[in-house]
Amino acid sequence: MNNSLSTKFLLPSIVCLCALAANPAMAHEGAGVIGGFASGFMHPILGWDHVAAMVAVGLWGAFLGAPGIWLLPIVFPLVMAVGGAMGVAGVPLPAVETGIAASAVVLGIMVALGARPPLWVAAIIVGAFAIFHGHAHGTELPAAADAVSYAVGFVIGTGLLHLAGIALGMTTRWETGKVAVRAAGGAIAVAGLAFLTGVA
Amino acid sequence: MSRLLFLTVFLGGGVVSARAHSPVAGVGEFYNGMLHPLLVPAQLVTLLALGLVVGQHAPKSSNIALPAFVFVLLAALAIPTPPVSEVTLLYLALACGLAAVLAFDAGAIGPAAFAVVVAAIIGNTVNADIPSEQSPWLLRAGSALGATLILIIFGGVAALLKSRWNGIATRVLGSWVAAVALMIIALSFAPGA
Repeated sequence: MNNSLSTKFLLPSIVCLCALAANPAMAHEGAGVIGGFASGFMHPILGWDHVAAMVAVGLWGAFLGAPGIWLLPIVFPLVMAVGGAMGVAGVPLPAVETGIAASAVVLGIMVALGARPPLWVAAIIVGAFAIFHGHAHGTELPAAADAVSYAVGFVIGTGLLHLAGIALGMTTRWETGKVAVRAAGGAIAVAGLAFLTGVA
Repeated sequence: MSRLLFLTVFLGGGVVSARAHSPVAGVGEFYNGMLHPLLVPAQLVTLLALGLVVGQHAPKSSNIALPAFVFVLLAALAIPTPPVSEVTLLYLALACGLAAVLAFDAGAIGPAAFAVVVAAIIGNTVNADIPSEQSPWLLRAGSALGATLILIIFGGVAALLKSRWNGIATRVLGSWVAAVALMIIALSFAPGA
């Protein structure tokens, strides 16, 4: 009953998410609290490179099982905030875009292989890449109309992308689901490679 | 020396000024007061963080924290004090968020201590935000009710969530709150802030 219910909502959710993500990332700053929130919320969702990595974190967490399924989505925003703080403070971080693209490659490969390293290793890998994502958000934060609501928006946007990955990852309880999730990981890795080489 | 440095950083002076917001036209001063904590993101984020901490260990934590919050909030609203930066609230949101992530059980006193400080600063920032042309008492009464209701709602949701999925949702929300707070604190120290 619960499985059919979750499956019923899973597909439309994924379709909606893909539809939202089907635009290139564009710099845009809204006005006021609502504008700041919308701007921050859409920032991770409208960038393919961010979407790929965030969803991969959720997928990998689902593969790792408890407690990884919730630990990785907790580690990511916390470390991302540290990267964001570095970006806001103007601390230079080399090759931010390369790091973001590499995150999609590495996390995608982890999902494709169904890798199950020790939890602390997974947390370090995810945390290291979160620095790059946070730095990218942080460098745009000061220009936002309302910085507080911008930050609220992008953290929630990021969290929902993790949840989308986890929801998709829940299908690993079935053999077909495992194949689909691994294939999704492979697709994310290929997409990351395209970002890395400048093809996409 | 280190204590002085801590206080300087914590109280942060006017590094980031309180973000004034336009009152909602036509709803009156009382309702504008009620909406105040909703319209000031720093207050809303901090109330959410405090609600997570209070709800995570309810009823042990809420029995003292909620009455203490109401009492101190009313006192802080009634006794205007020199304005404190809203960034101070975000330090508390960060601490509460991390406490929620770790599911740190500080007994009944820990959440109550957080509640007292948050209430004092929210009362202070509301006073600093009252336009001179409006009735301060109606606005203060509305703000007290609004902030208390928000805390009760967030705390209640956290208390409900603690028995589901092993409290994971509360921990995830705590990490989101801590991340937001950390970002805004960093912003207050950004060049040109």
